[in-house]
Amino acid sequence: MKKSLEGRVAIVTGGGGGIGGEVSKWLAKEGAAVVVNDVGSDLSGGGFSSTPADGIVSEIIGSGGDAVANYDSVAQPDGAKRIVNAAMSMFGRLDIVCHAAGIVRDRMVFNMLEEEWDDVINVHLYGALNIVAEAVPIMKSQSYGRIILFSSVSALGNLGQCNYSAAKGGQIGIVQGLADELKVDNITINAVFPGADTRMTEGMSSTARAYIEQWGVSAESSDAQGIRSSVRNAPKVAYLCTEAAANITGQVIGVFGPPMTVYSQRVLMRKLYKSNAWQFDDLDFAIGSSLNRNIPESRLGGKYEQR
Amino acid sequence: MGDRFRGKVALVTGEDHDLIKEISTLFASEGAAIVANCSHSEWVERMVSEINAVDGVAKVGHFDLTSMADAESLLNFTVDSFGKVDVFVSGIEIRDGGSVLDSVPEKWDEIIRPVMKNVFATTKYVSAHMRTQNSGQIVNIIRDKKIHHDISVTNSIITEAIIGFTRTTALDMEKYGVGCNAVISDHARNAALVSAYICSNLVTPGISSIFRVDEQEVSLYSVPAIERGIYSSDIFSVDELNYLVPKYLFDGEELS
Repeated sequence: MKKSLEGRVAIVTGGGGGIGGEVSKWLAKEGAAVVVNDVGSDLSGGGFSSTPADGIVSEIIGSGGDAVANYDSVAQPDGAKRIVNAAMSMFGRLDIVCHAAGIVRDRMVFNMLEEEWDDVINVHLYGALNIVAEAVPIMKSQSYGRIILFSSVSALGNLGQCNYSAAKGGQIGIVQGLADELKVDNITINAVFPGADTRMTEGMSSTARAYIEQWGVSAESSDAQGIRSSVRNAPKVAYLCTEAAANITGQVIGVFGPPMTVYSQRVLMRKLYKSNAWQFDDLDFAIGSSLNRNIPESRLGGKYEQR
Repeated sequence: MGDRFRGKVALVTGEDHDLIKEISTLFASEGAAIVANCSHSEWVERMVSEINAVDGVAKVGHFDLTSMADAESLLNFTVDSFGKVDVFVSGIEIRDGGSVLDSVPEKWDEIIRPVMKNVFATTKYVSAHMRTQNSGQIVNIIRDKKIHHDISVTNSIITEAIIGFTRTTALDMEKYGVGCNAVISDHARNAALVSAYICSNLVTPGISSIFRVDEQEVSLYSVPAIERGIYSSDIFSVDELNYLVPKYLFDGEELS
Protein backbone atom coordinates (compact mmCIF):
# COMPACT_ATOMS: atom_id res chain seq x y z
CA MET A 1 0.00 0.00 0.00
CA LYS A 2 1.26 3.46 -0.87
CA LYS A 3 2.29 5.52 2.12
CA SER A 4 0.37 8.77 2.61
CA LEU A 5 3.42 11.00 2.03
CA GLU A 6 5.29 8.86 -0.51
CA GLY A 7 7.35 11.04 -2.83
CA ARG A 8 6.85 14.19 -0.73
CA VAL A 9 9.67 16.36 0.59
CA ALA A 10 9.34 18.07 3.96
CA ILE A 11 11.22 20.63 6.01
CA VAL A 12 10.77 20.58 9.79
CA THR A 13 12.33 23.59 11.55
CA GLY A 14 13.16 22.74 15.13
CA GLY A 15 12.97 19.17 13.87
CA GLY A 16 15.79 17.87 16.01
CA GLY A 17 13.97 17.43 19.30
CA GLY A 18 10.78 17.53 21.31
CA ILE A 19 7.61 17.79 19.25
CA GLY A 20 9.53 18.79 16.10
CA GLY A 21 11.60 15.62 16.39
CA GLU A 22 8.51 13.41 16.58
CA VAL A 23 6.99 15.25 13.62
CA SER A 24 10.18 14.70 11.56
CA LYS A 25 10.09 10.99 12.32
CA TRP A 26 6.37 10.60 11.62
CA LEU A 27 6.56 12.42 8.28
CA ALA A 28 9.44 10.09 7.34
CA LYS A 29 7.44 7.08 8.47
CA GLU A 30 4.64 8.14 6.12
CA GLY A 31 7.15 8.19 3.27
CA ALA A 32 8.35 11.81 3.09
CA ALA A 33 12.01 12.73 2.67
CA VAL A 34 12.73 15.14 5.52
CA VAL A 35 15.12 18.05 5.99
CA VAL A 36 15.59 18.02 9.75
CA ASN A 37 16.50 21.61 10.57
CA ASP A 38 17.72 22.44 14.07
CA VAL A 39 20.30 24.90 15.33
CA GLY A 40 20.58 22.82 18.48
CA SER A 41 20.40 25.82 20.79
CA ASP A 42 19.39 25.75 24.42
CA LEU A 43 15.82 26.67 25.29
CA SER A 44 16.54 30.40 25.48
CA GLY A 45 18.17 30.40 22.05
CA GLY A 46 21.83 30.33 23.08
CA GLY A 47 24.49 27.93 21.80
CA PHE A 48 24.73 25.69 18.78
CA SER A 49 24.90 21.96 18.31
CA SER A 50 24.54 19.65 15.35
CA THR A 51 23.71 16.75 17.67
CA PRO A 52 19.88 17.10 17.82
CA ALA A 53 19.35 17.27 14.04
CA ASP A 54 21.93 14.51 13.41
CA GLY A 55 20.30 12.29 16.01
CA ILE A 56 16.85 12.46 14.42
CA VAL A 57 18.33 11.96 10.94
CA SER A 58 20.11 8.77 12.07
CA GLU A 59 16.91 7.49 13.66
CA ILE A 60 15.00 8.10 10.42
CA ILE A 61 17.65 6.50 8.23
CA GLY A 62 17.95 3.61 10.70
CA SER A 63 14.24 2.86 10.20
CA GLY A 64 14.60 2.88 6.44
CA GLY A 65 13.52 6.49 5.86
CA ASP A 66 15.17 9.35 4.02
CA ALA A 67 16.41 12.49 5.80
CA VAL A 68 19.15 15.08 5.83
CA ALA A 69 20.25 17.42 8.61
CA ASN A 70 20.48 21.20 8.38
CA TYR A 71 21.67 23.59 11.10
CA ASP A 72 20.74 27.04 9.77
CA SER A 73 18.68 29.53 11.76
CA VAL A 74 15.22 30.18 10.36
CA ALA A 75 15.23 33.51 12.21
CA GLN A 76 17.52 34.91 9.50
CA PRO A 77 16.25 35.37 5.89
CA ASP A 78 19.52 33.86 4.60
CA GLY A 79 19.16 30.94 6.97
CA ALA A 80 15.65 30.20 5.69
CA LYS A 81 16.95 30.38 2.14
CA ARG A 82 19.65 27.81 2.92
CA ILE A 83 17.14 25.49 4.58
CA VAL A 84 14.92 25.58 1.49
CA ASN A 85 17.97 25.16 -0.76
CA ALA A 86 18.91 22.06 1.21
CA ALA A 87 15.54 20.49 0.35
CA MET A 88 15.83 21.43 -3.31
CA SER A 89 19.42 20.30 -3.77
CA MET A 90 19.02 17.03 -1.87
CA PHE A 91 15.52 16.02 -2.90
CA GLY A 92 14.57 18.25 -5.86
CA ARG A 93 11.24 19.58 -4.59
CA LEU A 94 9.46 20.91 -1.51
CA ASP A 95 5.94 19.91 -0.50
CA ILE A 96 5.73 20.39 3.25
CA VAL A 97 6.99 22.99 5.70
CA CYS A 98 6.48 22.53 9.43
CA HIS A 99 7.77 25.52 11.40
CA ALA A 100 8.27 24.10 14.88
CA ALA A 101 11.45 25.96 15.85
CA GLY A 102 11.03 27.97 18.98
CA ILE A 103 12.57 29.41 22.09
CA VAL A 104 11.07 30.93 25.21
CA ARG A 105 12.30 33.95 27.13
CA ASP A 106 9.56 34.39 29.74
CA ARG A 107 9.27 37.49 31.89
CA MET A 108 6.48 39.76 33.08
CA VAL A 109 5.78 42.59 30.62
CA PHE A 110 7.00 45.29 33.01
CA ASN A 111 10.42 43.64 33.41
CA MET A 112 10.96 42.15 29.96
CA LEU A 113 14.20 43.15 28.24
CA GLU A 114 14.35 44.36 24.67
CA GLU A 115 16.51 41.41 23.61
CA GLU A 116 14.04 38.95 25.17
CA TRP A 117 11.30 40.54 23.10
CA ASP A 118 13.37 40.63 19.90
CA ASP A 119 14.75 37.10 20.14
CA VAL A 120 11.34 35.48 20.56
CA ILE A 121 9.68 37.58 17.84
CA ASN A 122 12.59 36.83 15.50
CA VAL A 123 12.47 33.05 15.78
CA HIS A 124 8.72 32.49 15.93
CA LEU A 125 7.22 35.29 13.87
CA TYR A 126 9.99 36.34 11.50
CA GLY A 127 11.14 32.74 11.27
CA ALA A 128 7.66 31.82 10.02
CA LEU A 129 7.64 34.68 7.52
CA ASN A 130 11.16 33.84 6.32
CA ILE A 131 10.51 30.17 5.66
CA VAL A 132 7.03 30.74 4.19
CA ALA A 133 8.34 33.41 1.82
CA GLU A 134 11.11 31.08 0.62
CA ALA A 135 8.89 28.01 0.29
CA VAL A 136 5.78 29.47 -1.34
CA PRO A 137 7.26 30.32 -4.77
CA ILE A 138 8.45 26.72 -5.07
CA MET A 139 5.12 25.34 -3.89
CA LYS A 140 3.30 27.60 -6.36
CA SER A 141 5.44 26.32 -9.20
CA GLN A 142 4.48 22.76 -8.18
CA SER A 143 0.83 23.69 -7.56
CA TYR A 144 1.06 21.84 -4.28
CA GLY A 145 2.05 22.66 -0.74
CA ARG A 146 1.30 22.07 2.93
CA ILE A 147 2.45 24.60 5.54
CA ILE A 148 1.99 24.11 9.28
CA LEU A 149 2.96 26.81 11.75
CA PHE A 150 3.41 25.60 15.32
CA SER A 151 1.53 28.29 17.21
CA SER A 152 0.46 27.89 20.82
CA VAL A 153 -2.46 28.29 23.19
CA SER A 154 -0.29 31.09 24.56
CA ALA A 155 -1.54 33.12 21.60
CA LEU A 156 -4.73 33.45 23.66
CA GLY A 157 -2.78 34.95 26.53
CA ASN A 158 -0.35 33.39 29.00
CA LEU A 159 1.20 34.87 32.10
CA GLY A 160 4.76 36.08 31.66
CA GLN A 161 4.86 35.48 27.92
CA CYS A 162 3.92 38.74 26.20
CA ASN A 163 6.67 38.17 23.60
CA TYR A 164 5.62 34.58 22.95
CA SER A 165 1.88 35.42 22.87
CA ALA A 166 2.50 38.19 20.36
CA ALA A 167 4.64 35.95 18.15
CA LYS A 168 2.23 33.01 18.34
CA GLY A 169 -0.74 35.29 17.70
CA GLY A 170 1.13 36.72 14.73
CA GLN A 171 1.52 33.20 13.35
CA ILE A 172 -2.26 32.79 13.42
CA GLY A 173 -2.44 36.12 11.58
CA ILE A 174 -0.12 34.73 8.88
CA VAL A 175 -2.28 31.63 8.49
CA GLN A 176 -5.57 33.51 8.32
CA GLY A 177 -4.14 36.21 6.11
CA LEU A 178 -2.55 33.88 3.55
CA ALA A 179 -4.99 30.97 3.35
CA ASP A 180 -7.19 32.44 0.60
CA GLU A 181 -4.27 33.69 -1.43
CA LEU A 182 -2.57 30.27 -1.39
CA LYS A 183 -5.68 28.17 -1.97
CA VAL A 184 -5.73 28.78 -5.73
CA ASP A 185 -2.36 27.03 -5.99
CA ASN A 186 -3.45 24.02 -3.95
CA ILE A 187 -1.35 25.15 -0.99
CA THR A 188 -2.84 24.87 2.49
CA ILE A 189 -1.58 26.74 5.54
CA ASN A 190 -2.71 25.96 9.07
CA ALA A 191 -1.68 26.73 12.62
CA VAL A 192 -1.53 24.03 15.26
CA PHE A 193 -1.61 24.27 19.03
CA PRO A 194 0.80 21.52 20.04
CA GLY A 195 1.74 20.39 23.49
CA ALA A 196 3.70 17.80 25.40
CA ASP A 197 5.92 17.42 28.40
CA THR A 198 9.04 18.89 26.86
CA ARG A 199 11.78 21.17 28.10
CA MET A 200 9.59 24.04 26.90
CA THR A 201 6.70 23.31 29.24
CA GLU A 202 8.63 22.70 32.43
CA GLY A 203 7.74 26.21 33.52
CA MET A 204 4.22 26.11 32.07
CA SER A 205 1.83 28.55 33.70
CA SER A 206 -1.55 27.84 35.23
CA THR A 207 -3.28 29.52 32.30
CA ALA A 208 -1.84 27.09 29.80
CA ARG A 209 -2.69 24.21 32.10
CA ALA A 210 -6.28 25.37 32.32
CA TYR A 211 -6.65 25.40 28.54
CA ILE A 212 -5.16 21.96 28.28
CA GLU A 213 -7.35 20.57 31.02
CA GLN A 214 -10.45 21.63 29.07
CA TRP A 215 -9.92 18.44 27.12
CA GLY A 216 -9.31 16.14 29.99
CA VAL A 217 -5.55 16.17 29.73
CA SER A 218 -4.40 16.75 33.25
CA ALA A 219 -1.06 18.47 33.35
CA GLU A 220 -0.55 17.49 36.97
CA SER A 221 -1.15 13.77 37.22
CA SER A 222 1.32 11.08 36.25
CA ASP A 223 1.58 10.25 32.59
CA ALA A 224 1.55 6.48 32.66
CA GLN A 225 -0.43 6.24 29.39
CA GLY A 226 1.85 8.70 27.68
CA ILE A 227 -1.02 11.04 26.92
CA ARG A 228 1.26 14.04 27.24
CA SER A 229 4.06 12.64 25.11
CA SER A 230 5.39 14.56 22.11
CA VAL A 231 4.50 11.74 19.75
CA ARG A 232 0.76 12.39 20.26
CA ASN A 233 1.09 15.54 18.13
CA ALA A 234 2.85 13.93 15.21
CA PRO A 235 0.22 11.89 13.31
CA LYS A 236 -2.23 14.80 13.43
CA VAL A 237 0.35 17.11 11.93
CA ALA A 238 1.27 14.42 9.39
CA TYR A 239 -2.40 14.08 8.42
CA LEU A 240 -2.66 17.83 7.77
CA CYS A 241 0.34 17.41 5.43
CA THR A 242 -1.34 14.77 3.27
CA GLU A 243 -3.05 15.29 -0.05
CA ALA A 244 -6.32 14.21 1.57
CA ALA A 245 -6.34 17.28 3.84
CA ALA A 246 -6.68 19.58 0.82
CA ASN A 247 -9.78 21.31 2.17
CA ILE A 248 -8.33 22.20 5.54
CA THR A 249 -6.71 25.62 5.41
CA GLY A 250 -6.64 28.81 7.45
CA GLN A 251 -7.52 26.78 10.55
CA VAL A 252 -6.24 26.55 14.10
CA ILE A 253 -6.01 22.88 15.09
CA GLY A 254 -5.28 21.53 18.55
CA VAL A 255 -2.93 18.53 18.35
CA PHE A 256 -1.95 18.04 21.98
CA GLY A 257 -2.69 14.83 23.86
CA PRO A 258 -5.35 12.26 22.96
CA PRO A 259 -7.77 14.60 21.13
CA MET A 260 -7.50 16.47 17.87
CA THR A 261 -9.56 19.63 18.04
CA VAL A 262 -10.58 22.52 15.84
CA TYR A 263 -10.73 26.06 17.19
CA SER A 264 -13.37 28.58 16.23
CA GLN A 265 -12.63 31.84 14.54
CA ARG A 266 -13.02 34.81 16.80
CA VAL A 267 -16.76 34.68 17.36
CA LEU A 268 -19.09 37.64 17.55
CA MET A 269 -20.68 37.37 20.98
CA ARG A 270 -23.05 40.29 20.88
CA LYS A 271 -23.59 43.45 18.93
CA LEU A 272 -25.18 46.79 19.79
CA TYR A 273 -26.53 49.01 17.07
CA LYS A 274 -27.45 52.67 16.98
CA SER A 275 -28.48 54.52 13.84
CA ASN A 276 -27.38 57.96 15.03
CA ALA A 277 -24.16 58.94 16.80
CA TRP A 278 -23.14 57.03 19.89
CA GLN A 279 -22.80 59.05 23.08
CA PHE A 280 -21.08 58.28 26.36
CA ASP A 281 -24.37 57.76 28.15
CA ASP A 282 -25.49 55.24 25.54
CA LEU A 283 -22.43 53.16 26.30
CA ASP A 284 -22.90 53.39 30.05
CA PHE A 285 -26.34 51.99 29.59
CA ALA A 286 -25.84 49.61 26.68
CA ILE A 287 -22.50 48.02 27.48
CA GLY A 288 -23.22 47.73 31.15
CA SER A 289 -26.69 46.29 30.78
CA SER A 290 -26.36 44.14 27.70
CA LEU A 291 -23.10 43.89 25.78
CA ASN A 292 -21.22 41.64 28.14
CA ARG A 293 -24.05 40.54 30.39
CA ASN A 294 -24.39 36.82 30.99
CA ILE A 295 -21.55 35.92 28.67
CA PRO A 296 -19.54 33.23 30.44
CA GLU A 297 -16.10 34.45 31.42
CA SER A 298 -14.63 31.46 29.62
CA ARG A 299 -15.77 32.87 26.30
CA LEU A 300 -14.00 36.10 27.07
CA GLY A 301 -10.93 34.19 28.10
CA GLY A 302 -11.03 34.93 31.79
CA LYS A 303 -11.73 31.60 33.39
CA TYR A 304 -12.22 28.21 31.90
CA GLU A 305 -15.21 25.92 31.91
CA GLN A 306 -14.80 22.22 32.22
CA ARG A 307 -16.24 20.67 29.13
CA MET B 1 -17.94 68.38 29.15
CA GLY B 2 -18.00 65.92 31.98
CA ASP B 3 -16.09 64.80 35.01
CA ARG B 4 -15.46 61.16 34.32
CA PHE B 5 -11.69 61.61 34.22
CA ARG B 6 -11.33 64.57 36.58
CA GLY B 7 -7.94 64.25 38.31
CA LYS B 8 -6.82 61.48 35.95
CA VAL B 9 -3.87 61.47 33.58
CA ALA B 10 -4.13 59.94 30.10
CA LEU B 11 -1.21 59.11 27.84
CA VAL B 12 -2.19 58.85 24.18
CA THR B 13 0.19 57.61 21.48
CA GLY B 14 -0.02 56.90 17.78
CA GLU B 15 0.40 58.15 14.27
CA ASP B 16 -3.22 58.21 13.20
CA HIS B 17 -4.20 61.87 13.49
CA ASP B 18 -7.98 61.38 13.54
CA LEU B 19 -7.71 58.78 16.25
CA ILE B 20 -5.22 60.67 18.45
CA LYS B 21 -7.35 63.77 18.19
CA GLU B 22 -10.62 62.06 19.04
CA ILE B 23 -9.09 60.28 22.03
CA SER B 24 -7.23 63.31 23.38
CA THR B 25 -10.17 65.64 22.96
CA LEU B 26 -12.65 63.22 24.53
CA PHE B 27 -10.51 62.44 27.58
CA ALA B 28 -9.66 66.14 28.01
CA SER B 29 -13.33 67.09 27.79
CA GLU B 30 -14.01 64.65 30.63
CA GLY B 31 -11.36 66.32 32.78
CA ALA B 32 -8.21 64.27 32.18
CA ALA B 33 -4.75 65.80 31.79
CA ILE B 34 -3.33 64.60 28.49
CA VAL B 35 0.07 63.78 27.09
CA ALA B 36 -0.19 63.14 23.35
CA ASN B 37 2.79 61.58 21.56
CA CYS B 38 3.01 61.66 17.78
CA SER B 39 5.97 61.94 15.44
CA HIS B 40 4.26 64.65 13.39
CA SER B 41 5.27 67.47 15.71
CA GLU B 42 3.62 70.42 13.99
CA TRP B 43 0.28 68.68 13.88
CA VAL B 44 0.33 67.45 17.47
CA GLU B 45 1.43 70.87 18.76
CA ARG B 46 -1.60 72.40 17.06
CA MET B 47 -3.96 69.78 18.41
CA VAL B 48 -2.69 70.23 21.94
CA SER B 49 -3.02 74.00 21.78
CA GLU B 50 -6.62 73.55 20.64
CA ILE B 51 -7.30 71.42 23.69
CA ASN B 52 -5.61 73.91 25.99
CA ALA B 53 -7.60 76.75 24.40
CA VAL B 54 -10.87 75.17 25.56
CA ASP B 55 -9.92 74.74 29.18
CA GLY B 56 -8.10 71.44 28.84
CA VAL B 57 -4.67 70.49 30.14
CA ALA B 58 -2.49 68.84 27.54
CA LYS B 59 1.17 68.43 26.68
CA VAL B 60 3.04 67.16 23.68
CA GLY B 61 5.47 64.24 23.63
CA HIS B 62 7.95 63.93 20.79
CA PHE B 63 9.48 60.57 21.41
CA ASP B 64 10.39 57.82 18.98
CA LEU B 65 8.60 54.92 20.60
CA THR B 66 10.40 52.26 18.63
CA SER B 67 13.31 53.08 20.95
CA MET B 68 13.18 51.61 24.45
CA ALA B 69 15.01 54.66 25.83
CA ASP B 70 12.51 57.04 24.25
CA ALA B 71 9.56 55.01 25.52
CA GLU B 72 10.98 55.28 29.02
CA SER B 73 11.52 59.01 28.51
CA LEU B 74 7.89 59.45 27.47
CA LEU B 75 6.73 57.74 30.66
CA ASN B 76 9.07 59.92 32.73
CA PHE B 77 7.92 63.05 30.89
CA THR B 78 4.29 62.20 31.65
CA VAL B 79 4.92 61.47 35.31
CA ASP B 80 7.09 64.59 35.67
CA SER B 81 4.36 66.67 34.05
CA PHE B 82 1.28 65.33 35.84
CA GLY B 83 2.49 63.03 38.61
CA LYS B 84 1.11 59.71 37.32
CA VAL B 85 -0.49 57.79 34.45
CA ASP B 86 -4.00 56.39 34.89
CA VAL B 87 -4.85 55.64 31.30
CA PHE B 88 -2.71 54.59 28.37
CA VAL B 89 -4.37 54.49 24.96
CA SER B 90 -2.22 53.27 22.11
CA GLY B 91 -3.52 54.01 18.62
CA ILE B 92 -2.01 51.36 16.40
CA GLU B 93 -2.11 52.23 12.76
CA ILE B 94 -1.21 49.47 10.35
CA ARG B 95 0.10 50.40 6.95
CA ASP B 96 -1.07 48.11 4.23
CA GLY B 97 1.96 46.18 3.12
CA GLY B 98 0.10 44.09 0.59
CA SER B 99 0.87 40.40 0.74
CA VAL B 100 4.01 39.47 2.62
CA LEU B 101 4.72 37.08 -0.22
CA ASP B 102 5.13 39.89 -2.72
CA SER B 103 7.54 41.82 -0.55
CA VAL B 104 10.96 41.33 0.92
CA PRO B 105 12.09 40.97 4.54
CA GLU B 106 13.23 44.61 4.59
CA LYS B 107 9.63 45.59 3.87
CA TRP B 108 8.28 43.53 6.77
CA ASP B 109 10.87 45.21 8.96
CA GLU B 110 9.52 48.53 7.85
CA ILE B 111 5.87 47.72 8.48
CA ILE B 112 5.61 45.03 11.15
CA ARG B 113 8.65 45.49 13.38
CA PRO B 114 8.20 49.17 14.38
CA VAL B 115 4.55 48.68 15.32
CA MET B 116 5.32 45.68 17.50
CA LYS B 117 8.33 47.31 19.14
CA ASN B 118 6.38 50.50 19.81
CA VAL B 119 3.57 48.65 21.56
CA PHE B 120 5.96 46.55 23.63
CA ALA B 121 8.26 49.44 24.60
CA THR B 122 5.52 51.82 25.71
CA THR B 123 3.49 49.12 27.46
CA LYS B 124 6.55 47.91 29.34
CA TYR B 125 7.30 51.27 30.94
CA VAL B 126 3.69 52.30 31.43
CA SER B 127 2.81 48.99 33.06
CA ALA B 128 5.87 49.19 35.33
CA HIS B 129 4.54 52.54 36.51
CA MET B 130 0.93 51.39 36.86
CA ARG B 131 2.19 48.45 38.87
CA THR B 132 3.63 50.81 41.47
CA GLN B 133 0.33 52.69 41.76
CA ASN B 134 -1.78 49.51 41.72
CA SER B 135 -4.23 50.88 39.20
CA GLY B 136 -4.53 51.79 35.57
CA GLN B 137 -6.17 50.97 32.25
CA ILE B 138 -4.44 50.18 28.98
CA VAL B 139 -6.32 50.15 25.68
CA ASN B 140 -4.76 49.05 22.40
CA ILE B 141 -6.77 50.40 19.50
CA ILE B 142 -6.09 48.59 16.26
CA ARG B 143 -7.26 50.59 13.30
CA ASP B 144 -9.35 49.05 10.63
CA LYS B 145 -9.24 45.34 10.54
CA LYS B 146 -12.25 43.63 9.15
CA ILE B 147 -12.39 40.91 11.68
CA HIS B 148 -12.84 37.99 9.34
CA HIS B 149 -12.14 38.74 5.72
CA ASP B 150 -10.62 41.03 3.14
CA ILE B 151 -7.62 42.05 5.12
CA SER B 152 -4.05 42.41 4.11
CA VAL B 153 -1.65 39.86 5.53
CA THR B 154 0.44 42.42 7.42
CA ASN B 155 -2.74 43.75 8.97
CA SER B 156 -3.81 40.26 9.98
CA ILE B 157 -0.40 39.47 11.49
CA ILE B 158 -0.17 42.66 13.51
CA THR B 159 -3.76 42.45 14.70
CA GLU B 160 -3.43 38.89 15.99
CA ALA B 161 -0.02 39.64 17.51
CA ILE B 162 -1.33 42.70 19.34
CA ILE B 163 -4.35 40.76 20.60
CA GLY B 164 -2.03 38.04 21.97
CA PHE B 165 0.12 40.72 23.57
CA THR B 166 -2.93 42.50 25.01
CA ARG B 167 -4.25 39.34 26.60
CA THR B 168 -0.95 38.42 28.21
CA THR B 169 -0.44 41.97 29.45
CA ALA B 170 -3.87 41.74 31.08
CA LEU B 171 -2.80 38.55 32.87
CA ASP B 172 0.57 39.96 33.88
CA MET B 173 -1.09 43.07 35.33
CA GLU B 174 -4.12 41.39 36.93
CA LYS B 175 -2.81 41.36 40.46
CA TYR B 176 -1.87 45.02 40.25
CA GLY B 177 -5.42 46.10 39.42
CA VAL B 178 -4.52 47.12 35.89
CA GLY B 179 -6.76 46.24 32.94
CA CYS B 180 -5.71 45.81 29.31
CA ASN B 181 -8.19 45.61 26.42
CA ALA B 182 -8.21 45.74 22.64
CA VAL B 183 -10.49 47.73 20.37
CA ILE B 184 -10.53 47.03 16.65
CA SER B 185 -12.09 49.91 14.79
CA ASP B 186 -12.41 51.81 11.55
CA HIS B 187 -14.23 54.71 13.20
CA ALA B 188 -12.02 57.11 15.16
CA ARG B 189 -14.68 58.83 17.21
CA ASN B 190 -16.44 55.69 18.35
CA ALA B 191 -13.11 53.98 19.04
CA ALA B 192 -12.28 56.87 21.35
CA LEU B 193 -15.68 56.66 22.99
CA VAL B 194 -15.49 52.94 23.68
CA SER B 195 -11.92 53.30 24.96
CA ALA B 196 -13.06 55.98 27.35
CA TYR B 197 -15.92 53.77 28.43
CA ILE B 198 -13.54 50.90 29.11
CA CYS B 199 -11.22 53.15 31.12
CA SER B 200 -14.03 54.53 33.24
CA ASN B 201 -16.06 51.38 33.83
CA LEU B 202 -14.78 48.09 32.71
CA VAL B 203 -12.27 47.38 35.41
CA THR B 204 -11.99 43.63 35.18
CA PRO B 205 -8.30 42.94 35.58
CA GLY B 206 -7.15 39.70 34.04
CA ILE B 207 -9.89 39.56 31.44
CA SER B 208 -9.17 41.42 28.28
CA SER B 209 -12.09 41.90 25.98
CA ILE B 210 -11.88 42.37 22.25
CA PHE B 211 -14.23 45.02 20.96
CA ARG B 212 -15.05 45.78 17.37
CA VAL B 213 -16.33 49.30 16.88
CA ASP B 214 -17.81 50.79 13.72
CA GLU B 215 -19.89 53.83 12.98
CA GLN B 216 -23.12 52.31 14.20
CA GLU B 217 -22.12 49.10 15.89
CA VAL B 218 -20.29 48.15 19.04
CA SER B 219 -19.52 44.42 19.21
CA LEU B 220 -17.80 42.08 21.59
CA TYR B 221 -15.81 39.10 20.33
CA SER B 222 -14.89 35.88 22.04
CA VAL B 223 -11.48 34.31 22.13
CA PRO B 224 -11.07 31.37 19.73
CA ALA B 225 -12.41 28.34 21.55
CA ILE B 226 -12.44 24.63 20.90
CA GLU B 227 -15.39 23.94 18.65
CA ARG B 228 -15.15 20.24 18.11
CA GLY B 229 -12.80 17.39 18.81
CA ILE B 230 -12.11 13.75 18.13
CA TYR B 231 -10.51 11.64 20.80
CA SER B 232 -8.55 8.44 21.03
CA SER B 233 -6.79 6.95 24.02
CA ASP B 234 -4.40 5.29 21.58
CA ILE B 235 -2.12 7.27 19.34
CA PHE B 236 -3.99 8.08 16.13
CA SER B 237 -2.76 6.73 12.83
CA VAL B 238 -2.86 8.90 9.72
CA ASP B 239 -5.29 6.40 8.15
CA GLU B 240 -7.68 6.79 11.07
CA LEU B 241 -7.47 10.56 10.83
CA ASN B 242 -8.06 10.38 7.11
CA TYR B 243 -11.40 8.82 7.91
CA LEU B 244 -12.29 10.70 11.12
CA VAL B 245 -11.26 14.30 10.45
CA PRO B 246 -13.52 15.11 7.47
CA LYS B 247 -16.41 13.12 8.91
CA TYR B 248 -16.38 14.31 12.51
CA LEU B 249 -13.94 17.14 13.12
CA PHE B 250 -15.31 19.24 10.30
CA ASP B 251 -18.77 17.71 10.26
CA GLY B 252 -18.67 16.85 6.60
CA GLU B 253 -18.81 20.48 5.64
CA GLU B 254 -16.51 21.70 2.96
CA LEU B 255 -14.19 24.15 4.60
CA SER B 256 -13.62 27.56 3.24
